[in-house]
Amino acid sequence: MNSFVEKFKVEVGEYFERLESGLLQLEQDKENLQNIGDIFRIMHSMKGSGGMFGFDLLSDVTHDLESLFEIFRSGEQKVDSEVISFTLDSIDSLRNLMIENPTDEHRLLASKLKSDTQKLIARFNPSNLKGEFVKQTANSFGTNSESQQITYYISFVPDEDIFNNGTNPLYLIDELHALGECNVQVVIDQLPSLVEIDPVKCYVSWYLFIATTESVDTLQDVFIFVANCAQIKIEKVSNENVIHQDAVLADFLNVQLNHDFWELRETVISEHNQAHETDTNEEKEEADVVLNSATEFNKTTSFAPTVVDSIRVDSVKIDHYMNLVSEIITAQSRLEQISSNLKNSDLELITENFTKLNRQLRDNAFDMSLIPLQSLVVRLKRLVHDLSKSLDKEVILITEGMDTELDKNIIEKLIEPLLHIIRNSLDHGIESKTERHKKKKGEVGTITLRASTVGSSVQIEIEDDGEGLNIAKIREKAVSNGLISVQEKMKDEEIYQLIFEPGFSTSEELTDVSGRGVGMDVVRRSVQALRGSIEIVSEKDKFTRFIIKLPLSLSIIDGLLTSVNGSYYVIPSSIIHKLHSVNPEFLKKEFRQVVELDGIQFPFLNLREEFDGKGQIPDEQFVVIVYYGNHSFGLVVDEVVREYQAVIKPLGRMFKSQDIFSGASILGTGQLALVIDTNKLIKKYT
Amino acid sequence: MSKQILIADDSESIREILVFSLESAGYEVLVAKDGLDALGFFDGRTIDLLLTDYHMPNLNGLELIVKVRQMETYKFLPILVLTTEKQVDIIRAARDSGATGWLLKPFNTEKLLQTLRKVIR
Amino acid sequence: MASEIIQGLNSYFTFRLGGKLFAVNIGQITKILELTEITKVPNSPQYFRGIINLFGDIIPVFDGRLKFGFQETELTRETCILILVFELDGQAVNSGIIVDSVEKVLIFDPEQIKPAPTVGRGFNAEFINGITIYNDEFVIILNIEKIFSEEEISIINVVE
Repeated sequence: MNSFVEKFKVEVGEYFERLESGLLQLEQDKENLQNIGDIFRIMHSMKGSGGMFGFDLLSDVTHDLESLFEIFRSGEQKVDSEVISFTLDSIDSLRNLMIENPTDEHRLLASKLKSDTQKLIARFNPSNLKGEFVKQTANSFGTNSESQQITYYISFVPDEDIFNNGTNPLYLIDELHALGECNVQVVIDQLPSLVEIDPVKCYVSWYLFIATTESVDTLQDVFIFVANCAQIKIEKVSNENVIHQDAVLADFLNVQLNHDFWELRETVISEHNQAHETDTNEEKEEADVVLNSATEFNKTTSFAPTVVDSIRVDSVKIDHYMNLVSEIITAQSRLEQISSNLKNSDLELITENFTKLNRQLRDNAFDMSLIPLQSLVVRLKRLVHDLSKSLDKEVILITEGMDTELDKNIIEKLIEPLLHIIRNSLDHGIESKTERHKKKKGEVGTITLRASTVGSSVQIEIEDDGEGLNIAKIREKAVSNGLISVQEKMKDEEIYQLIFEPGFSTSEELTDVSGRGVGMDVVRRSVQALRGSIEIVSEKDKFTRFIIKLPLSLSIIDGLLTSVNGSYYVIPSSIIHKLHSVNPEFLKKEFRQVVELDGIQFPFLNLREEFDGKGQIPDEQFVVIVYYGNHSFGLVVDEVVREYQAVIKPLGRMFKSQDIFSGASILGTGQLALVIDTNKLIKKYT
Repeated sequence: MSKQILIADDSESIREILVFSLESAGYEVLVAKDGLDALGFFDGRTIDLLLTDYHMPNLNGLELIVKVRQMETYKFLPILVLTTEKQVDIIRAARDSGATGWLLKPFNTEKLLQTLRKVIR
Repeated sequence: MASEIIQGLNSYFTFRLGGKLFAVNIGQITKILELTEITKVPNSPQYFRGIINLFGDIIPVFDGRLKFGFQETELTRETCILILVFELDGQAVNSGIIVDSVEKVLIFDPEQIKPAPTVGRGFNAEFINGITIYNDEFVIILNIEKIFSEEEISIINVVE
């Protein structure tokens, strides 16, 4: 049963997300009845399922929240910000109530939530009449205290059209058989002649004697579904089992057949008929109402894709799959090696095929672990919503390109930095309403989150239309912190980067929200740990924009295998522009570290020199032209071996400090090749 | 030939529990995610019982029952509605739409099978 | 690769570096290798020799002598790589260290082990879990975590 609970927890997590998303949307469009209906329905599901899996507190609280939203379903009463904020807060609290063994503290929290909700309901609905709960005693399954068998008489007369509800009266008789010893008699008095029989009508009834230890309630419960379409009579015959005592039974029947019985029957029948008539009209109305409100849910929900052809997969399984694919590619590497050594054309052919298939497998595996940025949006929007309210500013979050996908591991590590940047924008970037008014800006501030794929990296921009960064202040602070000297000349971009230094902050006071901006250095480190970079662009009183660039974090990449000084290095294919062979003598002549190829000049790095080169310089070397930002750069290697699918293995935690190598790859020979991060490399040596 | 039960519920965890309980009891289970999905199963095949949730997207429980009852083949099909309320009006609505009976949530396997015995053998 | 450190053992693996006898708890030894081809990583500290491929994992390998502050000497036939496992930031990490020679596995009861002396003797106590005696010789029991978390260290204050 445990795995069901775990699955349910995941499902509830999704419910919470959908609720949050819907509520935030509702904030923007408070009269969206579809939305309200969806919210109601989700709460209803949560309530029901919660009870199923033992999360009673969740079920209890959700029940009240559902009642709250019921009020707005018809559109007669309108939702307001207070309701929305309250519900969002309640959802947070509900997350805490997802405990299998709640303590008193939890119960207290639940009670408080319920009473707060009730208060809110009372505001909208002063005469709060919720439907009565029919206390069904039928649910009490008791047996007689002394396990004494008691004999009962049961009469079961179904209505003619009892079949229309899918009822099979015989099953009920069977049920009774299971509860005790029975003596059943069929009554076919009402059976018309064969020609007149309508096969879909029930003309038969039963009466029976049952000796059982079960209670009357249990017996009544058998007929619970047919209470309205049959006449049921249960009477005690004797306090003992008299089933086999025909005399007693006959006597009883005689009494029954007395005029009392007849009278009873008549009154029962007429009462039944009367009730039926008035009921039918009422019931019809109610059913109509129910059906009508039910059709509201017919429309597809506005905010969540409910019918999407997808399955949920444990991320551990995806990781495992990726690992296996990595191993396959490493093995493939060995195969390629052996194949080229053996020079067997059949083997070569199949190895080539194998390589192609693996490439697809790898792309597929990688694709599976990508998720769109959209998954972060609800959380970010929530932050903006809550924070702007508490800061008394009006700010909205606009998103673009949220369908851009990133490896899920990266997305997870990206959340904190993004949250922090947004917190900062809200706290220090965007001005108060009065300030904005003075500056002739709109009252509502905006934070825009933009994402796109640029080459083999993903670019994420967070821009606020606030007061921009104050260059003078930053400079001043940096000087006073000893980071730079007073005279030091710096470009604006460089000055902006100073805010990433630890301990840096220009805000006057410590605010609750984002601290003294001390998190910025953590933001940069987090981005760098993801092998990304972060830049800032800003204009005073206009905007501040953070630009984060991240590699698509491949653990398997297409690369070029090169060698320098007998050691192997892999350069990612995605950033390679061109290859040229070059005469080493030619390079030596250049004193500006620029080489001209095909009429174009390129700056270059001689890896042989940079990588502690010793030994003989080969007769011919190669320049690998790579993209570096908007420019091209040349890397000089001794040999270009071949194209190579590299499985990048991490170098280990000991290598946190160095960064020019993004990892190592195991070649087919078992040797290791270091994978070069060209941006870091070039940056370091120039 | 074991009996075929069609279940319709938009909650995955409920569906899983039902499948588990019903299959353990020897029934064959067909699974639908909502009313519309469920409707698709009524294509003439043998269905011995429909167990449907009340609130579902696309086509809810009541609407589903009404439609099913309109089909000749399934006019007398036993139908149970899953509901969280013991509210009289909801149960009445279910019955009026044509449901044979109902099952209250939360339920355990015992209750489920007990209720089943009243409508299917 | 070893993903856990086995605790509670009284056996210690001993080896020599710079003439001195050192010990590491057996639970932290993953493997002992002969000196194999080590792939250099350019622009790394002197005491860091490079990386090796051990069953598909990349393991960094350090020069024990240089790491401990001894002078570099020639490699002999007895030189080995010791692969150790230790905890770094809550995860088990494997790392290799080149030692002059490997010696016996000895058993020391906890009572036999004395804490490192903080004054005199020229030992840098941070990196030492304890000292004991075997065959009239000091055996220095190392604190692996500390050693690998620092850059260059000096086990012995007085460098020979």
